[in-house]
Amino acid sequence: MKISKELLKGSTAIMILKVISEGETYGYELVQQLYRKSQGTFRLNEGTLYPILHTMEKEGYIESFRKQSESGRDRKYYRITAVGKLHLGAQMEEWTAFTKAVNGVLEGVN
Amino acid sequence: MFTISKELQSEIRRYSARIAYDIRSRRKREEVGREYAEHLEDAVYYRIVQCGMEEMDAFRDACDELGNVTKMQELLALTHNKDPLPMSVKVLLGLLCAAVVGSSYFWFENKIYRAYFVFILQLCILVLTIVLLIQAGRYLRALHIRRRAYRRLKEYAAQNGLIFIRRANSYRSIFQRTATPEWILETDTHRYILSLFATVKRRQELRLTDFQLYQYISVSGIRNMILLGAGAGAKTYSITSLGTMRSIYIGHTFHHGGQWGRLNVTLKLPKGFHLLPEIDWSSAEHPTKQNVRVLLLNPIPMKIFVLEHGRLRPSGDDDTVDGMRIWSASGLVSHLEGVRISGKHDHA
Repeated sequence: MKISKELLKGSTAIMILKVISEGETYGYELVQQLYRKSQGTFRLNEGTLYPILHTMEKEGYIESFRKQSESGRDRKYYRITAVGKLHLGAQMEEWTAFTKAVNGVLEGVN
Repeated sequence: MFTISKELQSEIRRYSARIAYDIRSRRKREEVGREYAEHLEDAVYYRIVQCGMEEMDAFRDACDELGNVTKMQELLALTHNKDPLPMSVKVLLGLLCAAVVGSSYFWFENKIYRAYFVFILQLCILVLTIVLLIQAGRYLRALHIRRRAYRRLKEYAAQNGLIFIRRANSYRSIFQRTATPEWILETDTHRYILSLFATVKRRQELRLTDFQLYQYISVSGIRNMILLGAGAGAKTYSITSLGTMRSIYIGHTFHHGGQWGRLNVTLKLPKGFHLLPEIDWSSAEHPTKQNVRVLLLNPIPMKIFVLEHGRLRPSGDDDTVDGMRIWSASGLVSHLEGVRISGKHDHA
């Protein structure tokens, strides 16, 4: 099922941060993980992933470093910072409240 | 460890460099380009090893998956290019300079009134010098950007077997509008006729209108404009709906109230609007190839709007206005690269 861009816009950054919080990763692997975890629902526009990562790095939520990947290639990895963890926690609380409210309205309509 | 061929590695590096092209900092540009190159390598590797694709097919598919290059360039430029100094900081710096200049005079002169007069004079000279330097700096920047675009297109043409022709002075349009398309870029099937249009001020919005001068006259003073289209008929538009005005003087023969007459009037365009230049396209057109008229914005402004049929709409790279494609130099190269890599027909 294809999800509309407007719905995706608000949730992409939090999903990326969540995946990074589960373990350090690099760009291509991140896209694959997101695809797997969403059971094929989210096929992230790969080109726009890096501006999001760079913005989050600028804001201090993640940091980057270089290391060898499993395939033996040198890659730029990202890991979450302490500030990023705090931000993720706040965002997830907000998301939970939001989805609860929306579901409340939708179930009420049904 | 599986490795891809040197030719493909080179293609990947070029493609990635193009994505990062609009990032001003050289260090950041190389870093981001490298990251995209590594991403493409992984994507290509996956397609070759897991899906059994051929190298170039895997590369094309990976590039498709990556998305629109122009969009990525815009996002990366927004993320990595530094914001200019805020106005408050500029004012403070200006006052500090003025204070230093003014106070230094008082160390040597005792006559207060003369000192004040000379101080103010020096301040004015300082401000004027700064303004002139800023203005000169803008033009120097525009010249530099134009030169870079020229080199880039020339190199791209040489690398890909295209024809690049310089028909007129490449820098004149920075200072005044020109009617002759300056550059031509030719593929096997298409001729891109490039007319250069410059926006010198960095943060300027560019507003284009497809009005032609001879089509508009002001009949009843400041309230209305009458548009005379081809053939009979007239429409009126309220000037106040178009915002702050600027004057252009024209003379025109018109048909009004059942009579022909001549009216010399002042035509008012909204502030900041640029009339699309009347360009002599026919002199540059190829007899057999498909001719694509291109308004090449270089330097490109922060935002572009188009006034069409009385409505203002946002515009940007890869738009069409008045029969012309609107592109920046990077946007044009992205379009050509997309056509080359995909192998599809160019629908420009």
